[in-house]
Amino acid sequence: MAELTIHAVEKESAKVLYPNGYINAHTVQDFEKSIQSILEEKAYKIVINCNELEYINSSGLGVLMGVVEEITENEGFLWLSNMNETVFNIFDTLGFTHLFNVYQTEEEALEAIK
Amino acid sequence: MNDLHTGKVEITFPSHTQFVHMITMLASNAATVAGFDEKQAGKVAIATDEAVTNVIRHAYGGRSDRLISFTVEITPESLILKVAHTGQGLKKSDIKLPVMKEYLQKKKPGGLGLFIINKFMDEVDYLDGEENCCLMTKYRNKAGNQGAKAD
Repeated sequence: MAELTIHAVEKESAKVLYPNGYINAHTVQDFEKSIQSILEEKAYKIVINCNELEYINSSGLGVLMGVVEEITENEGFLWLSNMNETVFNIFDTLGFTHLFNVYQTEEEALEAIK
Repeated sequence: MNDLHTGKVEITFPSHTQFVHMITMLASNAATVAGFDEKQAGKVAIATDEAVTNVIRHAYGGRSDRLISFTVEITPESLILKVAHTGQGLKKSDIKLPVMKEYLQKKKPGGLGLFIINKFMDEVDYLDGEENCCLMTKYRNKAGNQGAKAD
């Protein structure tokens, strides 16, 4: 398995990101580039489907923290779905679940956009 | 579950981020062998990732040509992880953990690693001397550490 691959699909006026692998100091630049390239397209409605995300460390959370302001200023959102227990634990422990909406499934997140 | 076997594994690796995931997986597997459930093994993995990353970024200033020694020990009572290096040491008294409520309001990235280590492990210590190290312990019988059975 690659360390981290990310592909994006447009659904329900949002960009849905599918990270596959892990996000840590070694892969965080790829993660940041993916997010930044979406923001450069002026797409501010983003859902990250974490189904194939093994784990995320503080470097990855720092990227999310770094873009959340730009996204909210542009009336967008950054939501997450399909987290495994490890990924959810880190979001929950740090209180990031208050900053980012977390959905059980991608379908629930897309439904919430409507 | 089979009876618990105590023991120690030690590995030395270069201070390059490409090795962090390998060490993280070793820590997670060791937690499983020690009887911790998947949730706790995930916490051990993340704490290890953060501790090793801190050494690469801060103790060695991002240099990838140094060495890090990682030791994982399964004892009857606990899982002990040691990340040792010869770079700049970190004194426990110098550590200021962020207050998360303020941190989230300011939305400034960075500085979360030590907080995560403290939250996910039961005991964390930083020792300095000829060799500096971060020592992290998770107890098998502590409340909340479900799945860890003392055989």
